Formats: sequence, structure tokens, C-alpha cells
Amino acid sequence: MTETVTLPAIKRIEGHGRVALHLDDDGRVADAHFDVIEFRGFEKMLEGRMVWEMPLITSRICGVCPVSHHLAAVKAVDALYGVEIPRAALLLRELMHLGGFAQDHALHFFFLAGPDFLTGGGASRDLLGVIEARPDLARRAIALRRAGQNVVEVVGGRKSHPVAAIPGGMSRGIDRSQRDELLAAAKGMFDDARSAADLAVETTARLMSENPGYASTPRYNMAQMRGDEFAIYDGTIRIVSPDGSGFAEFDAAAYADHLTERTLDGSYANSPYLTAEGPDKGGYRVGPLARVNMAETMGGTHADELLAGFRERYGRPVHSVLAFHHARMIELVASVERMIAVLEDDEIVSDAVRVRVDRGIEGRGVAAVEAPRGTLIHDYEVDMVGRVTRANLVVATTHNVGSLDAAVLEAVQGFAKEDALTDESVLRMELGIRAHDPCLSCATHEIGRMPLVVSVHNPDGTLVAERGVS
Amino acid sequence: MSKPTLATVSLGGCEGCHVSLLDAHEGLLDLLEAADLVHSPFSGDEEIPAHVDVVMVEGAITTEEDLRRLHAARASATTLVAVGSCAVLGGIGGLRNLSPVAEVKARAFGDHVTKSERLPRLRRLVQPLSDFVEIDISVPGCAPETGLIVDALVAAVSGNEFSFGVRNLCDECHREKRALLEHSSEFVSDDVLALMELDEIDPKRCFLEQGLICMGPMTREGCGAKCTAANVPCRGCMGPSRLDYEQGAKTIDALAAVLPAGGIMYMDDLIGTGYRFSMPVSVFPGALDHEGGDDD
Repeated sequence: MTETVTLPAIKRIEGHGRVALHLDDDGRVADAHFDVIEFRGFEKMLEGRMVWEMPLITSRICGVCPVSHHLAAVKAVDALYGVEIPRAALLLRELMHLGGFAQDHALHFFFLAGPDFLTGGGASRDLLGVIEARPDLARRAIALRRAGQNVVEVVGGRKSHPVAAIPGGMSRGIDRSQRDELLAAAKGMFDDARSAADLAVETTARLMSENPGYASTPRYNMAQMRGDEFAIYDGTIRIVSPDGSGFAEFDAAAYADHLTERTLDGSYANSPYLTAEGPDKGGYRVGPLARVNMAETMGGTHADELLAGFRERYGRPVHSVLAFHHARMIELVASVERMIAVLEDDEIVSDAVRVRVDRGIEGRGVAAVEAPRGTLIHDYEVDMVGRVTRANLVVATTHNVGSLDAAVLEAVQGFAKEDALTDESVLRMELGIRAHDPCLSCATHEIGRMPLVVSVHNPDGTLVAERGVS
Repeated sequence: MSKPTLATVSLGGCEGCHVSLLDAHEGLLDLLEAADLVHSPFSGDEEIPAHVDVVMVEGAITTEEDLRRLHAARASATTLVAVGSCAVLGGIGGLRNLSPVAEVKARAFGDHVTKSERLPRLRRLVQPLSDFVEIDISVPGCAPETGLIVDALVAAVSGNEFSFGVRNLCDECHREKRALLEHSSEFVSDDVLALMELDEIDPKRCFLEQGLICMGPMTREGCGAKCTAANVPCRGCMGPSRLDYEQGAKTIDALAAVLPAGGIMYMDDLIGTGYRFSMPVSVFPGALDHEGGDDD
């Protein structure tokens, strides 16, 4: 039986994620799980709240990608009440999302994952290390974040937990001078984004050559796409098989027909799988790598050139999780190009940004957006007055729990206990985890450094060893 | 003379306060010039050092592990700065106090799932830091404006006092009140509406006069009234405007003369709006006896 332990090592970390390794009868690592150890219980908290408040409440799930929750929620309410929002509102919502998306990708590449590969030996492996060793890159990251957050603030009303997307459209539009200011800023982001992408090409190739064959088990890919185009606000959800062939395509409202959420004993995160394939074979991946694998076009000239370069170098579909970094920066460039296109559309300054929406429908509203880390689904059931009777949220990081487990396992599979716990082994596990940019705020959270606690268990579940690693 | 040391800790929350701090952008570099960041989610050792001059804590106490880390932060800090409404008031996560922990977990994981003993135990109630330790500086907001966090940390590392406005949000809000100020036996609106139900959202007129619940009269200033400027009513994230912690009760008190009380109760969600960010400091969680709801 499982021993009761008092978590001595967990007490030595800041993080909220940990890894459990399970040994077989020969004492070799046979299974691995990335476990989430924090839980806030939002789904229960949402019951009894008014459904039009969801965009304002659920954004508080995550301080890193609040825009994604804000928009997934408001789209679900639109769907519930059967509202078509004006085109200007669509553009404004997409613009807000692009701003949040760009700052989030920049944050991850430079400051969160960057310490793994942007600084040389001797620099501390954290945000301070990047600032000290590569002040030029830190300035670029700051410029991208500032511009992205400014878009969120101007369009969304606030940068932290924005408020302006309301059922039926937007609470207000933007004027010409705001548009001109944002357009100039978006054009200013382009060079920084492009140079980040160049850097990502080089560092990803280096990481992959230093870690040949690392964490690259084929899996299904899933993303919401606008036809064959990379899109973060709307579209239909598509799943492709590990060999790249089409597997399923459906509206977000039908997600429950395709995905099953499995609960896990050792983690506060659920782990979904493709229902048709079952828990063992139905593992899939979401996020930048899945989207870039699936897109025929990124929607922008330069991003499409980067996509072609990516395909030429790594083929299609790409399953190495280290390629997440490269894919993420292709998306950064695509976001900036799309931002410019949206801002150049004169409809963006229209006053017609909302239609009135009345309560009085009992039913269900489901919608999805592509959050920076992947598909984010909000699902609400509501009574006649507009009170939420049941809520279900499937967040990006949980879709990737299976992929995270696989990455960790591949790093240490077959290792004896002592070998699995060396600094080198733990760094290898971390490398794969960080490539996914898991947001444990959503699944639950940790930005920045993510110290791991690794525990090792016998086949009967007994804890045999544990260590915390900085 | 060596620089003062700074640490930041994140407990049960969303990391939004840390992101708001990062949004100081170049100002962050200035802050890092003024103080040595020795421990944070971005950098530093696993455990907070034994002595740190200023410790910023984001998030509420939701698990036993949160509480342990709060005590470690308090023991280490000369000045403890509680940042964000989760730390100061319990915050939005405190809405889980309306239900027993078992129900909250059952909703997410089903009734039959037993979680490993290795997961940190959830506490029965989400609570603010001040229920356990003394707080030197409190900065509410969800998330607080970047400038407010930076000002508080700069004041703390320089050993200065920190304070900000104690009036209510209406004093910061640009919207005009007319009907509200007239002596009348009528409510200013016959209905209680949702923002989406208005034909037009009047960008200049007080939201209460438009028949919407706005938390402005019950909420402390200091956020810059950005939501009302963006044509969206206040939801009270700065917490109560005075030492009176009953933000929701004050909502009834303030609005009963303005909007039809029955409408407030039926057409809106008085608890989830009135106490959205301050449930853990209200009388409700203590008064609600969650039978068998002790911890997990």
C-alpha cells in the first residue's frame, strides 16, 4: 500500500507541479506522471453566478492568459443566446487576443524557457540570468510585452483581467487615434518578433542536435482552425492522426462527443483523451506545435516563409516537443502580422460594436478559442434567469498532460532509481516540460522557474525516493 | 552599503499580480537596481532565505502548504507586503467557501475519485493572509495596477510609509449622477438589468441610474476606474472602501433605495457580485456550517 509521507521535498519548492516516476519489478523507470498539486475549484464556484459575468470571473483563473478565458467565456454566452456579433466586435476581440497572445509567447520564449538556452554557462538559469547575460534580448522581450499588453489595455479596458468583451459584442469600440497608435506599435513589434523567430530557429536546432531523438513520440494533434488557416479566435476544432492524416473535425459545442476527461489520483489536473481511441492510444497534443503542424497557412507573408522553413527542416507533422519553441515564435510573427492586418481594416473603428442580448433562454453555451498554450473550451448550462447551473472548463494545459507525461518518461525510461534522480536527468525532464509552456495557473499554475520535485515509487505505489531540484 | 533584499511569493491565486509587476517593463529593471531579488517564481533558491527585507506575497491561503509558506515568508520578512485581493481579502477564489470542499472536488473530479495523500490538503475555507500573520502593507486589486504594486514595493524597500486613497470608486469615476442625488420616492430604475440587456450603454451616465448593479459605492478607489471608463460596471475588485468588510451587505444597504430590492435578489447574483472578491472577510463563510466539510 502507498505509504503516507509528509512531503519533505515538496516543502522546499515554490512550484506547483511535480513528477512521479514509477518503477517496474526490476527497479527500472516504467511510467511517469507530471502532477499538478494546486486546485481552486472554479467550476463549482461558477454555479449560481450570472452567465454574463463569466467573462469577468473566469479571466481570474489565469493571470498569464486572462484574455483567452475572457473571450472563451464571452463566446460561450453568445452561443447560448444565439447572438451574431457585429464584424467590428469580432475584429476587436481578435485584436485583443492577439495582443495577449503575443506578450505571452514573448514572456515564455525569453524569460521562462529562455534561461534553458539563451544564456551561456555561468549565467543563472532564470529571468535574472537573461537580464544580466543578454540585456539586448531582455529589452526585446520587454518591448514585445509592453506593446502586446498595451493592445489588451486599449481594446480590453485593462491589461490584467480585461473587461470590454460582453455578450453581443464589445462594451465600446476604439477611435481612429487609438487605431493609429496601435498600428504604429504593432508595426514596431514586427522586427522584434522576427528576430525572436530567427533566434528560435537557431536555438531549437541546437537543442535538438544536443538531444537527438528527445521526446518525440508521435501523437494526435488538435487545434481550432479557421479552415486551413492558423486562427486564435474562431474556427472549428480539428484533430489529425499521428501520421498527419485527418481524424476528426467538429464544432466546439460537440467537444464532449470526442474527448473524455480522465481524473488522476496523484494530480489535481484531469487528463483528457480521444474517446474513439481510448485512454491508451488516444493521447493528443495542443498548442503551438499542434497548430503549426496543422496549418496550411499562418495568415501572414513572413510567418508563411517561416512555416515553409520549419517544414523543410523537420518535415510534417513534427513530434519533437523541443520544436515547440520554434513553432511558438512562428506564431509570434503570425500574431503580429495578423494584428497589423486587423488594424488596417477600417471596420475596426466602427461604432457598431454590439447588439442587445436578452436573457430568457434555458440552455447550454459552449465555445473555444486557441489560447497561447492550446485549445481552451468553456461550457455553461444556464437557467431562464441566466444563472449558471453547471460549468465545465477544459483548459489548454490539461490537454497536454499526456504529452507532458510522455516527455518525462522518454527522458528517463528504463533508468534505475539513482540514475533517474541525477541533476542531468532532472534537467532533461525539465527541458521537455518547459517546451510545452505548461501554465499551471490554468491547470493550475506557475510562471517563471518551475522547480521540480521528483518522486520514485515501487510497483505497489510505495515511495522509495524523492528529491527537489532548483 | 549593500542593497536591500526583495522576495516575492505566490500562494493560492492566478499569478496575475506577478504579471502586473512584470508589466512595469523597464521599471522592473529599475526596481532590480534598487533591490536584490533573492527569491521569486522567476528566480532564486527553492526556499525563501532566512532574512529578507521585503517580501511580497500574492494569493490566498487555500492549502496547508500555502499556510506553511506564508509562515516562512513572515518569519523571513522585515516588511511583508500583501499584494492583490486574494492576499488581502481572500479574493475571487473565496467563492469556493460557499460550498463544502467535498462538493467542490466532486464537481471537478467526480464522486468516486480519492486523491492521493501526496497532494497538499485543501483547507476548509479560503482565507486572507491577515487571518494568520501580521501584514505591514496591503495592496488590494485584481490585479492591482502595476504602479500601485511598484510604489508599495519601492516604499517598502526604502523604509517609507505607503498609503493610497480610502474613498470609494465613485470619487474616481467620471460618470455623472443626477437622479441618484434627487430626493425621490421612486427607484431610479424599475428593472435590474445586465449590461448586455441595455439598448444603448450611456458612456457618461452612472451605471446605477441605467439600472445596473455597479459596485462603485461599495468599493475602494485606487484602480483608476478603468472598468467604468471602458463602459463596464465596477465589480468591486479593490474590496470595501472603508474598514467595513461587509461589501455585499453594504451593496444591499446602498442599492435598496436605488434599485428594486426584489430585482437585485432575483435578476442578479447578489452574493457572487457583492462578495466577489471579499467573501472570506465577510460573515458568511463563518456562519455557513459545512457539515462534514472539514478540509478534504
